[in-house]
Amino acid sequence: MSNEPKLTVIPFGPQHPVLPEPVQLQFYVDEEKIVDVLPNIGYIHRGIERAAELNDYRRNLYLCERICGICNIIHGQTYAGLIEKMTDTEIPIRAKYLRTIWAEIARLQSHLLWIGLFAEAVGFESLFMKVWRDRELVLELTEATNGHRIHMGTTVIGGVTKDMDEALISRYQKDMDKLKKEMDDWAHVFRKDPAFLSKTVNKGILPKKDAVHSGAVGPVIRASGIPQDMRNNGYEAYGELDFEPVVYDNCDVQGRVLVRLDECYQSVDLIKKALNQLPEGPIAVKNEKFPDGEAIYRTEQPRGEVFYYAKGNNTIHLERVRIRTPTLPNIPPLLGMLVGHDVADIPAIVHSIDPCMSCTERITDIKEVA
Amino acid sequence: MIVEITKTPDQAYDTTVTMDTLISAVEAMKEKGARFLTITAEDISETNAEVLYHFEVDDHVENIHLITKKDEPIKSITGVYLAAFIAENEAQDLFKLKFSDLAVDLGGKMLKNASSPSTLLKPAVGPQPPIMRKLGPCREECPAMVNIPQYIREVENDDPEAAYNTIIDRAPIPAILGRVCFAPCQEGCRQQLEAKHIQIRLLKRVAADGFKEQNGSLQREVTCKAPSGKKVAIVGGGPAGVAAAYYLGMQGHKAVVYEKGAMLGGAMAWGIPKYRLPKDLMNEELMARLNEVGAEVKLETAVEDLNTLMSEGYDAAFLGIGADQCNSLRCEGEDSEGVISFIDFLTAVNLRNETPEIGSRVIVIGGGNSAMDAARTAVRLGADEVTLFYRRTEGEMPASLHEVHGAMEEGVNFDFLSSQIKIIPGKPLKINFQAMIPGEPDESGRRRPMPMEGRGVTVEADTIISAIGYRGLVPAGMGVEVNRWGQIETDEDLKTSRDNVWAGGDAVYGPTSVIAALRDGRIAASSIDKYLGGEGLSDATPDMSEFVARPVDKEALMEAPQAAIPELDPDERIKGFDEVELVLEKCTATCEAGRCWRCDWNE
Repeated sequence: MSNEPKLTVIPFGPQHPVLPEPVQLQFYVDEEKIVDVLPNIGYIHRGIERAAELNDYRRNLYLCERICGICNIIHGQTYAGLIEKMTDTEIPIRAKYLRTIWAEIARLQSHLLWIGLFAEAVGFESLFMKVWRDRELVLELTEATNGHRIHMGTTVIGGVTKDMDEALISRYQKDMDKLKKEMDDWAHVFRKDPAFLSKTVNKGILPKKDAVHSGAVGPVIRASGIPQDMRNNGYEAYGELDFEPVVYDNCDVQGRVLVRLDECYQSVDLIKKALNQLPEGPIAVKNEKFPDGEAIYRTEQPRGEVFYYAKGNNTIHLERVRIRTPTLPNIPPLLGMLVGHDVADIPAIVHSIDPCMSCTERITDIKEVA
Repeated sequence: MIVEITKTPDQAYDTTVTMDTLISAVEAMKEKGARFLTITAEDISETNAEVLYHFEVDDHVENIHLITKKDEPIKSITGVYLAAFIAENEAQDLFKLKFSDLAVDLGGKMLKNASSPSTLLKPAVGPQPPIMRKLGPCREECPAMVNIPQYIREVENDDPEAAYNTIIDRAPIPAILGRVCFAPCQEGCRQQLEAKHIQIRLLKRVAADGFKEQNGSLQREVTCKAPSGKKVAIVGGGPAGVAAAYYLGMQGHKAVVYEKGAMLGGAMAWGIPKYRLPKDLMNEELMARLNEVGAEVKLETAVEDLNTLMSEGYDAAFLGIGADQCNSLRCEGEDSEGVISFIDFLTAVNLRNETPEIGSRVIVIGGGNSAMDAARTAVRLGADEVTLFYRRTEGEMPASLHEVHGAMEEGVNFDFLSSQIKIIPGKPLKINFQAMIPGEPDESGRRRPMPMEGRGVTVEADTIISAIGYRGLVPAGMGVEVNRWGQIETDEDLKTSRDNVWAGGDAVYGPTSVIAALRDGRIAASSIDKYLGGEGLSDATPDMSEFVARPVDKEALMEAPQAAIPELDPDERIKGFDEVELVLEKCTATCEAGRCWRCDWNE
């Protein structure tokens, strides 16, 4: 005659239809209510931090671009920015603008990817197809820029490898206008549709206080009313573009949807503004020193703040490279968001942090494997 | 523009701490409203490691720098920033550092490799230790939650002492239960799907009788908690009262048991015939438990007024006063001479060793276990013809099947769908029965018997025994609230409306079972212990990791036959009050215990 509730454990993942990325969450449920969540991560680690210590520091750029498929442009730019900071390399102003434009292109395609996936996760399949159809505009721009739909590969330490000519600039401008019009076609569903709102409003609550304490980043913390956006720090050309981060204080899944939706519009505006202001000049300088000392460099990825730390010793190798991608700090807040909700809310809440496990876990002890 | 700090090799860190000042430095960060970023660990020599804690304050990064020995545990900062647990586990995995007091410690197994389990839920590769399920289905059915699978294994290993102790942990009278328990556990047994449940009750008796044979008596050496100096009055010496006294004694409290009869046992003493439960054995086991914990017993001391009793210096009281008021027959002439209640009848035979004059023709009215007891006792007293009348059908009798079969074997006649309507006094008595027919289902789910007009029968009898249930009567002097059925009102912890008075057993639930009364005694004892400043009784399952899992071949187990209950021959047993059931042979008991599927082990 025990009075303890009889808890059922529901394993969610590592392979699960809702989330095609290997993470396991164990849900302890009492009837339909989630009582506790235990995360189990560490399924995919590729030894990138260790590999970065063995590589020539310049080749690490290409390694870092492969940490994450979706955020490849910003990973490359962050690593390049870190090394430029350690070697006191000042890159040309045109290169800064180009990097900014392409970083926003990356954000656009990532947010559109997420918005589509989220629509599907809450049961809006044709909406998912519409969003992804419009995402094609962005992917085709990426292809027109350097020949690949996802991997841009235009970054180099000291600048960029590729310039934009007049024809490409006008295509960018035209497609951005078109994309904005297409987005207007479906954005209202995310803001107003009662069936959609019933799955997002007041689900996955992350109060403002907890958001800071649990270390949330990116759209998750901005949807809890905190204007934490690394672009505020004005790296690359962001300081000259005059923008305000998108902040909502809903603190729920709907808030995170709105932040990403508004950031799509914001990215379109930023790209157009940067193209209009694009200064003339060279696109790269030569980097002449080896990295020395220690540095930290942070940028804003679509999923939030990415953190790079490196320690150099004035040789061609780095002593230590530390990479923390934005999904990892969003996992502890996720656990808190889930408790108290129904099993049926799991897909929407888990999706709301936009988990990207493959870039989160790149860490292993190479020595032991060898 | 870029506000991240950059440091050349000869510059110092913002904050360099030692292990002692680490936590206070991190707390100072939290005071500033800093956001935790991550932890960077690095080997700097064979023995030393460097740990950098990164925080964001306003819009720039601040670092806490710590140099530590690799084998020295680092204080975890998860007490301040819970979110750091992932980064700390990562550092444990990659740099073989140790973090102490880590909120979620994955023990250096966060990152998966070829030998990692695919899930934390169960190990996927290698020899698997037995992992305890929450409860076996037998244990879930047991009101007292006795750890049945464990004592079955102990009986199989021929360790009656361990098995006896395992049972006492939840139900302090195994020898009695082994004879009289209704064994709801056997209903839950998964072998019951094939109608071949493990004879759990018999194995309990094997454990108890085996222990008595080994030890010489049922009394054990136990270690009670240090005396608390608190005194608890136990009103009623039945199973609930004795269980409460035993568990309170184990927690270090002084229990004094007040029993109004001449013998402990309550309904077990007057209600259960000697052929099922020998009274000396019952008394021995009850006294053994009370003596083990130094509880005091006051026989033939009825408590009418609780206030007077409490004024004798008791800190709390437990009412296990049972139920001993017979329900009336509700028919004309029920006060006639020769009509007696089963309580009076059984009390006379069982407690006072009398042989009431019942004549040769006896009628028992009722269909429960007490009716069976009365009928079978009447057979033993020499009645030639014992007939049991019940107003519903055979299948609806609340008596256990085993008891019904026993009565049939001993020659008791049964007459179903007959309801008494009138008793005509005289010698012999005459009683009119109305024939009934099952009608609409009532609130118990059974079909309500409806009279068939014009059909009935008149029977002659020397004695009529009424056995149509009983209920409790709480003396007004107890001062506790009762509900409309006369049962004491309690909360979940069996606490009554009075501040320091608990109650349990039949007095609370109406006539139930011995095992339910033992459960109540334990729950109340735990609650009383907490009230008296103790920690309550532990509900934890003992660590079973020392058991080595034997592969269970379920096909073979399904084939194995169920042990038959060894019994006296019916012709022999009606001659007297010898115990009907016998104890299982040792080898039979081992085989029977070996049929257990071990449902409590993770497969």
